[in-house]
Amino acid sequence: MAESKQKLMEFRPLIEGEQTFESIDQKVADLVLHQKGRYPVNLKSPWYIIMGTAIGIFHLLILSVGWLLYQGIGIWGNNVPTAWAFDIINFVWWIGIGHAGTLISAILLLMRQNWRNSINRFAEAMTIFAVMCAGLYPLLHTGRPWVAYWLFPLPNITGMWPNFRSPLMWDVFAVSTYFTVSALFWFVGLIPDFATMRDRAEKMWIRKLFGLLSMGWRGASRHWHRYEQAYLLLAGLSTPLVLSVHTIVSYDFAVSIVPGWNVTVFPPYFVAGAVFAGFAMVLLLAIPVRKWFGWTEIITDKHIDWMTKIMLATGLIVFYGYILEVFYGWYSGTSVELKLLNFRFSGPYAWAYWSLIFCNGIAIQPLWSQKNRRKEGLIWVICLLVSVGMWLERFVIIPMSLMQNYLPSSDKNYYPTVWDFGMFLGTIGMFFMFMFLFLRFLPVINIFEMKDLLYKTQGEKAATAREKKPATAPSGGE
Amino acid sequence: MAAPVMSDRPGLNLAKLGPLGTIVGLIGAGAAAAVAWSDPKASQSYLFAWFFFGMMSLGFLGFLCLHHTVRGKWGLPVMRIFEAGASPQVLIIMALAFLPVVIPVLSGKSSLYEWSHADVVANDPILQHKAPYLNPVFWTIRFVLFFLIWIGISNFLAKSTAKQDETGEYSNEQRRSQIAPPGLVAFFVTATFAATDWFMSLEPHWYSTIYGVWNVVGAGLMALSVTVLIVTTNKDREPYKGLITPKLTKDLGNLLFALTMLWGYTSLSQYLIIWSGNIPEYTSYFVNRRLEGWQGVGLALILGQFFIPFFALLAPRTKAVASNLAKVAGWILVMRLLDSYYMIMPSFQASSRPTPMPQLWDFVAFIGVGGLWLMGFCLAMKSKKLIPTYDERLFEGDGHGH
Repeated sequence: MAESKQKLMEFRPLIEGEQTFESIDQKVADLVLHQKGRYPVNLKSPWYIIMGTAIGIFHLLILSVGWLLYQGIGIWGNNVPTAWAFDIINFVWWIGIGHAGTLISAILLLMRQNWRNSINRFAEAMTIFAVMCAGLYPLLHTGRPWVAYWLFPLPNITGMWPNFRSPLMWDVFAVSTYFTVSALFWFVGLIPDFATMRDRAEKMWIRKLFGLLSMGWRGASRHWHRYEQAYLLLAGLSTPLVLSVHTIVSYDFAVSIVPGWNVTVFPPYFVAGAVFAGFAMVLLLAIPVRKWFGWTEIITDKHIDWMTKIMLATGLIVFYGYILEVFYGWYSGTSVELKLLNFRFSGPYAWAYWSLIFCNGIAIQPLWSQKNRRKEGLIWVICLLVSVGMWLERFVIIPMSLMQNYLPSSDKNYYPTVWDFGMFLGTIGMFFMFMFLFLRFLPVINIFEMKDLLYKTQGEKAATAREKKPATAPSGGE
Repeated sequence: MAAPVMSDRPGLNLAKLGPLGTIVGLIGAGAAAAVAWSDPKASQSYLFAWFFFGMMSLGFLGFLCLHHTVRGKWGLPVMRIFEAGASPQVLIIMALAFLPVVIPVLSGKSSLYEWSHADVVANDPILQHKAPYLNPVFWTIRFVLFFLIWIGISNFLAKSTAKQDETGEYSNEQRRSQIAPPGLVAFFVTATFAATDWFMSLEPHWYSTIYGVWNVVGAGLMALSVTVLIVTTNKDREPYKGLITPKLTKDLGNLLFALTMLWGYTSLSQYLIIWSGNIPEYTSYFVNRRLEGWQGVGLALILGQFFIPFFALLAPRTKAVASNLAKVAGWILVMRLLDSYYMIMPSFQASSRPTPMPQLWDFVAFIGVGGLWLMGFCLAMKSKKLIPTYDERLFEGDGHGH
């Protein structure tokens, strides 16, 4: 029985292969410190290709934003009644993508799920870059981003005062808090690893750079004690943020009376959708990256399996939301709700609705089988479909609900312009650009938490391996 | 294992409460059901009592599926309580106990559901629109279907753990982990529609898409509170001796805390969205619950079901000490009772429930249906070992946490 158990995913270790503290340092830190050579596999060519493409696309953002600032938001397809379109879709999409990072780093930490250790930093970085992309949209949609500070309740002589009953106002606070806490969380978690980098660096300027970033970390027990306290506190602060940010995003719509928006299940349904999209993006990046960087022993099949399960679970919650929307839309018996349902099912944008059902509802079903959860190619394609599907979901909810009104005479279709697409693609370029810079120049995997996990799981072995190879004193782990 | 606490208390035998439950249940529920036949007020009392115990059983079923899906160590010492609370015995008895509500619907004489009267539907275009779904026959078919699905899931899971206890075959566990996740999905969907059918449709014009989630969370709170009460008050009796550690009570307390927050979250979201939309079709639910003293109950729930347990459970001390956690769990259960009353009764407010004053039949029906539930629970407990022996994790030293 014991042998058959070994084959099962659940009994496989979180760190595979014969690892030691030294090998983990090498795997993660040396990628950054030895830019020339020593790469385990074919890292360089994919990195240059993706980085080059990302920078190329990023220029599209610069161009779109430049033209937008010159001409005004009239260059977008927004109209009346569809005053919210790509700008808000993309905002919600990006914010959602960020959620996996916070969930992995904060909630899984509080739930004592050790498997988060090798993917948390990566996901946290994703959160920060995704929130940066998201923030651009409402900022530019104000039309005059240079006076965006008016959104804050600053004492002033012009009598400008934000409306605290508007969820848009809550958004400003929710998103800026979210960004601040996520960035702090990320940086605090990096400090012990910056120290490792400093200790391993050979060139003086790199040592000084990481020395500055590590803020005088020496690995003293007092440092660790304070670190643990700060980290747990930040995790406690981030946990409600996972729920609150997307809840407030859902209130942007739900507290209005627009048919298709005034839906009570929106808050939990949006939160689940955010985590769903976030995990899809984590997997989309993690699957190729772990191959390129030779990290299949650190980000194991087991990690992929778990993330896929979470993606499936949240995807099913989202699908449950779709069923409720349709069922209660019909059950309401009100003419506007029925009209909207009809518009979704068979209107000019029906293809968007049905593609969304396919991408988010049907395409994830193969993930029920454990066999399929080991096929990386399949998972990658599903994640891509989910990312598209989650974008379509926001398209269906936001402009498609606005196109239909209580007064049929004010119904009007919405058509995006080339600038809408330009800006959307541009932020994708920006996201990948930052992400790949991060992948190349910072420790992507949490070195000291991996050592800690190694010590906990194979205590004896890790200890003896350390005796054999005392070359580099680990600055973390004990 | 932790050193056993010296105690003279005999081993815990939950099944011995069975005869008491049977007698009280048959007399109380029988009397309430008989009176409900002709008295609309008594039938409302009966539905309220059924709501409390019916939803509680569903809460147990949800936890049972959840436990076998995530297979956390925290679930092992309490799994048998989940199994008994959602056992086929309990579910069959609760289904039979619902017949006094179903039969009048089928015969068109229900005083509870407006939509079951053909003449009312004929004059109401909205109800006509809903008639393909809300009609006595389809409604009854769904009632049977829901219970068949629930009994099927619970029967499979309980038999499988019992078998594994006997034979130690790991294949049972694998099979459970294949059935439980789809079971959890089926549970969630059926519970949503069941809540819509049986309770939301009491006010047939009103609807809220979060209603199912909100009810499942409430049901989970009831089931978990009962579980916590059982294990914490019997922690120094066999077979719980040494197993109900501060670590376990912390886990259970955190789960109660999470559900309390979820209840607050779903309740607030529902209220805020309906309040700010302020559309007459959707506000009726809260309008009915703001009149004549009912608003006092609503405020008491905000304070009692959210703020008090929230702050109580925020403190690690509450969760580490079993007797403290028992008090909080008992408090939550009382609040769930009040909330059940608040969710069901104002639906009839216009005709017969102008104020939140409990009436005789409320008590009789509650004790009666509660007795029936206890009867099912004890019947299921009779053939069970309270602690599963198949999973070695239960008897290991503390391996988790940091």
